[in-house]
Amino acid sequence: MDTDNRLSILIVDDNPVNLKLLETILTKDGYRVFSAADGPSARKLAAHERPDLILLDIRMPEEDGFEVIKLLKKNAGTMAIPVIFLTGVSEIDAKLSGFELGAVDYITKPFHPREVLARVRLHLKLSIATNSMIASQAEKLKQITEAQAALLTTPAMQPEARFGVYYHALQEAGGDFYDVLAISQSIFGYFLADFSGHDIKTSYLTASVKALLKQNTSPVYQPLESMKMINDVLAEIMPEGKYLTACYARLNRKAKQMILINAGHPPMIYVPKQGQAEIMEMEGDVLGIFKDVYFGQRQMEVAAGDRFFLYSDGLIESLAEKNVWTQNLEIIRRACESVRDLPIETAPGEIAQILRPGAFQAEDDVVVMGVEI
Amino acid sequence: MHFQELAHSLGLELDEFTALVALFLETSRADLDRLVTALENADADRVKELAHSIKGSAGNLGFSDLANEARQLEMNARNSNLSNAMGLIQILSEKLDLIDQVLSTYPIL
Repeated sequence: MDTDNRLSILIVDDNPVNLKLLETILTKDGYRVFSAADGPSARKLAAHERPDLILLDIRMPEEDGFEVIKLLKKNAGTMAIPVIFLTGVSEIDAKLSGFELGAVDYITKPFHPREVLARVRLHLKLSIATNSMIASQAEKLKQITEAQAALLTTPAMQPEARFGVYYHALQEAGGDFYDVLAISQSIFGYFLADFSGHDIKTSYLTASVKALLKQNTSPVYQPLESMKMINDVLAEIMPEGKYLTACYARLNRKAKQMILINAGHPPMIYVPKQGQAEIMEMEGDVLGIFKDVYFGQRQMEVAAGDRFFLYSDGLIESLAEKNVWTQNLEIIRRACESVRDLPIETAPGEIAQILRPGAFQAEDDVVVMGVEI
Repeated sequence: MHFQELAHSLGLELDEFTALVALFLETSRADLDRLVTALENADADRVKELAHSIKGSAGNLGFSDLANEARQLEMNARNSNLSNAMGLIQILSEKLDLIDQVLSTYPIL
């Protein structure tokens, strides 16, 4: 990512003189300008540079402005970018079609630079005001990470994080998600989330969550701050009524300090090296619905050999029919305790096995993660 | 045709404007060559497109005479009337030469 903070504008016009004219006046006015002379290169630039605004000529050979905006609106990465059409005076139909396709405004040709600047400023302000800038930030995340985030980390990839995981997904892109963050050499973050419902396409959301975790868990943020920032962006991008529950454990191995955050998720289990395992019950709102949220937090001293287990509610649901909630938690607590002698890499699988002997009949995704201090 | 005034009305420095004019001359002359070819092929659609392009950039730079001639050519071509097209192309060419003459009085940057 570059550090250029100027607002950026993509100009698309097949006429080189118009392109140069717009480029000159917008650059003079302090914008960062990208130019494209045809539709395909415009879409490529838009997807790659994520400009804050696009000025798009309607009449272009091959792929015209209508086609370009249709494709921009179809692409999750560019759909939130406001588009202003450049159109001839008499093209009323073109203007109307432009609005229908999602353009925010049009500028009539021949245009006057001052008018262009005024409209550009207006729409950038509107865009900021309506938060579509935040949304487009989120869109950027989506696109950037779509490919890589499908990948879940493994203990082999991060041996220094000392964790083990059991992951069983009903579908390719399951509703459960976990990640392990190397925040510094001695600080690690362990995150586990469960998206509500399998009917929604969660793959892009898991990608967003992964990217958000990476961005918002630097050492300067307290875990609670990290979760709140992630929640704020998720609240912008989650489909209506959808949410996720999550728990986050941040461990400072050097300071032997653990901070636990719970966002509407089943409680983590703490298994000290000696002594009884403990259910870490905390209140907390879910992620991705409201901006003003409360998350449960707990800070504790830990010792080498202590373990924490995070899991999704699929682990509980297999027990749900027979028992009440507290009984189920107790069963899980005891299972976590019982695998004490197993290495942390295989302990989660064993817990899943204990609780769900018929794993193939599972009706929900299940993930269990164990962390050892 | 005062470049200084045209530049000022566009909110540009003179050197920015002359750079645009140079680009305009280059692309418009290339368009004129293509216009002649299109005319030889009696390709009214292509004539219309090229005239539209010249009209657009001329209009934006404030060369309204030229934009008007190009507009006439575009309208005629839209009605599949190419009878006076060669004459209009000739006029466009002369007007471009005129602009070139004015441009040459400014220092090349």
